[in-house]
Amino acid sequence: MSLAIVKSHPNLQAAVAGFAFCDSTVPLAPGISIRQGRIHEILGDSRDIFALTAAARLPDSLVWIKGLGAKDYPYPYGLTPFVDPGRLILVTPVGRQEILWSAEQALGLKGACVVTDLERGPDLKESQRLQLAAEKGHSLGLLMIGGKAQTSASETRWHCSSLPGEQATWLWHCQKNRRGKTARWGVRWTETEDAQNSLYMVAEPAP
Amino acid sequence: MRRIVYIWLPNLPLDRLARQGTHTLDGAFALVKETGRVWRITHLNNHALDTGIRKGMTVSDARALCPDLVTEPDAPYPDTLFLKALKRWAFHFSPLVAVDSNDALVLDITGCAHLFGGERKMAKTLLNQLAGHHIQATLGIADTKGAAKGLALFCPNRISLVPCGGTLDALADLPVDMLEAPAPIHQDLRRAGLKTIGDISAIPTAELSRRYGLTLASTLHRLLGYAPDPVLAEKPEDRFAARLKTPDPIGYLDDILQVLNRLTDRVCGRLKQTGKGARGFIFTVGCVDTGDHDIAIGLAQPSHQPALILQQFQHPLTQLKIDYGADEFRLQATAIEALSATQQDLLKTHQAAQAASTLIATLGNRLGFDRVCQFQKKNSHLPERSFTLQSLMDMSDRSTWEMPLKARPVTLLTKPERVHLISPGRPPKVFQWRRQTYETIASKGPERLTNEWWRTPDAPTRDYWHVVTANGPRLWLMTHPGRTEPSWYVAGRLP
Repeated sequence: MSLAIVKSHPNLQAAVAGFAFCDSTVPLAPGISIRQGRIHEILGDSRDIFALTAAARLPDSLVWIKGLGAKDYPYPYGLTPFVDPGRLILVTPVGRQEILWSAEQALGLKGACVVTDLERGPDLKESQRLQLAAEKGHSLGLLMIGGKAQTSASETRWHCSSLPGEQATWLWHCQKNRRGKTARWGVRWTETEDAQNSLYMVAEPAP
Repeated sequence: MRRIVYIWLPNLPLDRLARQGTHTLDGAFALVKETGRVWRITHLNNHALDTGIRKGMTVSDARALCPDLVTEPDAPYPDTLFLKALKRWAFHFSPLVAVDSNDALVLDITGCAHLFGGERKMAKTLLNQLAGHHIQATLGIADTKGAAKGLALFCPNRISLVPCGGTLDALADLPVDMLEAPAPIHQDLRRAGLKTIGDISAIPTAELSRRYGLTLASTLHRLLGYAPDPVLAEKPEDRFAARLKTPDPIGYLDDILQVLNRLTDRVCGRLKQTGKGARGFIFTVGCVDTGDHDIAIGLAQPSHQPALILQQFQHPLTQLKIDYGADEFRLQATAIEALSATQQDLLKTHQAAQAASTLIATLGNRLGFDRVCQFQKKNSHLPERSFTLQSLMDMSDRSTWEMPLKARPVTLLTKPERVHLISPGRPPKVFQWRRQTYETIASKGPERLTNEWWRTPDAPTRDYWHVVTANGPRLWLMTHPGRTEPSWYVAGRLP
């Protein structure tokens, strides 16, 4: 393995950094990774950036579920640094039941990344169903929660907020982790020479 | 020698309405059409005829003659469909059936008549069957299309049969109006005193064509059989539909699924034979008490595999309410497309594409296909107009999106939200948005976007600012420059 390959491939970078690779984790930044085949909850005002970083790491279909009549929509030209907007399948159901059903169906698609917009976090029953669907399809389920999160069966819960600054910087706080410790990371988006891996996040543990 | 049958259906729209049973045709009833700026009568029933109204009269004149006249605008499209259905019925009698103008059928029965017991018996059968469907008709049987048409339109009998070779004698007394020619030529013929076909056929062709042109002469030749005039029949369209009737009404879901299984196998078998796939299916359940219920499903890619189709029907069938049972079932395939045989390649791309289209079909059938969309690029510099959401079922190619020259927000607000200014500035130093106060620490801008003057000449120009706040969020603020009262809006959220 030449040094060039190690530098360019994000998955290999994670392996070099010393993570358990056999469980197929999605590395968001060196030091931060989330497991595939599970659902994760994301709160905070920059939760969509977290979701997009994860979606950028997965090559297959990206399903974005957003309720009809939402106040804001993803903007394709703003998504270009993260994902190819043509890849996105936007689903707009009406009502929480339909949103959860669509998420369950989409999680059944092998290797997909499913980003769902919810107002209230899923409760134990709802999250268990989504978790089973994600395990079956080995897909990544990301639930973006606008309001409060409840006790659920999700693997991790993150709170993402923007840090003030000219450069794009965020504070990602892993509030709940079923396997591991909770931690806080300050994440920064930097440029690399490699054009393929232009979305390179650098993370330092924050107090 | 060819033998042609011309079936003239003079009151086809009225018959169609009477068959529907929703119209009261007891009193005077007429169908009207707007020609120019005037509404004229096109079809009328016998009660209206008795009052003195005639075809082509204006509606105001007709109402003066009969104040109780009930009128309705004509519907050409349902009439066309009805005539198409009658054409399919006529295939029983002859393989060459054509539709003439919009109220007649032309059949070529050369060599078919003996199967129905002779020409006269065949004509009687045709009329009886049409009468059984409550459709008025007049028939003409002759050697040529024109002759049969003339006999059907201008002879008083219901069936006018002219034996082989007797065309000229039979047509001798019929008026010259049956020849298709422009109005000035008809005027000329009338002035010259040529009133019947007999008169005009007595004149040598050379003189006739010198005075009235070659078209009239050729029409006459085709009419009398001296020149060929074939019946141009369209190939019957392939219908991918299957019907099943049960002797007793059934209501259990398992039974209906069995019926659907059988119908799907038949329809898919026919699709497979012709190498086609369908993207939509309509399952009609005919309940004994409530009538027909249609269940429609769509697929993202054309398919002729029964398993995929049945999978999509699972959910809609559970929502069907049957009280007394249903005994008539029909499955119809719509949106037929040629299926290109794809090779099962070793890479997983084919399977993945198949799985993705199944997901899109499942989501679309439950939520509606307009709710499963993808982004499509549009040519505009305004952010909200630079893209549209297009349903994935429309199967257009994916647009390529290039990186924008200036940083763009990740989410765009559907409607820019106005902020409350606490400390004004350019951009405002302290402002309130969604019940939170933000303090600007740095900003970049302005980026001026003018309106699309060819579309909205009165829309204002906009200035966009990248604002970095002390709380953290980076916002994309918008303002309309050059106003005395500054108004600031949040247009989007930057990464």
